[in-house]
Amino acid sequence: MSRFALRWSSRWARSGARRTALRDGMFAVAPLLPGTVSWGLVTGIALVKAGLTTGQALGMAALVFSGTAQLVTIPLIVAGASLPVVMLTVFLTNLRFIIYSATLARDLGRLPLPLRLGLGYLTSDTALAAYRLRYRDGEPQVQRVALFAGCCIPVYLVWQIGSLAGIGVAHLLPAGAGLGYLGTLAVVAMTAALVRSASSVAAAAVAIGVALLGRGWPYSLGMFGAVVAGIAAAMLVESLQRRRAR
Amino acid sequence: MNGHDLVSVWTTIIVVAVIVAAGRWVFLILPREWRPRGLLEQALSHAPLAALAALVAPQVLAPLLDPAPGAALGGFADPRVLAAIAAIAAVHWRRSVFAGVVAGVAVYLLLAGFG
Repeated sequence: MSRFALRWSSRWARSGARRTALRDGMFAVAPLLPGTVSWGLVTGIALVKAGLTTGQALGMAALVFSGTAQLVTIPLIVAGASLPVVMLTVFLTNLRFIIYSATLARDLGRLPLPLRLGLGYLTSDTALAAYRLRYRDGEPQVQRVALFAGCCIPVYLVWQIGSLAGIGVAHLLPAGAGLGYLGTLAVVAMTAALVRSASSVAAAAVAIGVALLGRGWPYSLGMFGAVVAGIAAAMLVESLQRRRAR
Repeated sequence: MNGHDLVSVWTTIIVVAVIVAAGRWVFLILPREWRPRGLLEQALSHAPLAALAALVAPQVLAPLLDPAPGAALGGFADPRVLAAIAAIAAVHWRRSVFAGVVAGVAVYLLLAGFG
């Protein structure tokens, strides 16, 4: 173990402020947990109802810690899409985690690698929202890291409970009632929440337009074109807004 | 489902898991100087919304795009469309994804699931 890591782990273990910060994080994220359970439940049901076996659904829930990625992947698997198409789609819809990792690098950047990888793996939209709400500038890193862990861990556990319950419950629900669509509805809600400004309205509208036009295009080109066009539209609106402000 | 499908489903699950994890690790591993800035950062920040909207729109609007023969209002009165509208309205009214999921699922189950 490097000297750096040793210093970190001893500080980590001794600090009483760490426990307080951990608890602060748990309190900060608690109000958001009902949403996490329902999202997990819906995802679990959608996994099974879309046609995955119980084993595959459990594997997906255990390995892929991202509701969006799971819900995005299922219809593609069912439709028999090729692996590159699945990869591109998941990459594009999960780009936000790359952006999160860039913002988190400031707070977690100097931790020992295993801790960085662990906390990185546990990052979720919900945890990051709670962390940003409770985060205070100038706090020592030990506290910031504990606060972040306190936000992440409950979300992970509650999510797993929700999706396991969903996979279990799915077998009791009637077959063929189109319950796989519940997953789509969850993604619709998440998408709607991202529309908060003029530029995001432009991004969504243009992306939807191009996606509908390109429904028949091969190799997921419609999807790719929609993302590029949506980004371009949003950036155009933002630059127009900046010009008007000046 | 035959053996080949089974293998490819598991391959897909594992590949997706790797992409999701790797995305979260990118800038926790790469040097900090490599973080995206300026225009690239701005472009990246819009990508998830564009991708998600592009992905769900055809699924949600399927009843309108390929209306079933004799569908009411050209497919507009489909449970899928109405549930999505309820979800979007709830998200904007309550400012919460949770409210959107609940509203959308409730409307859908009411109209389609057990109707």
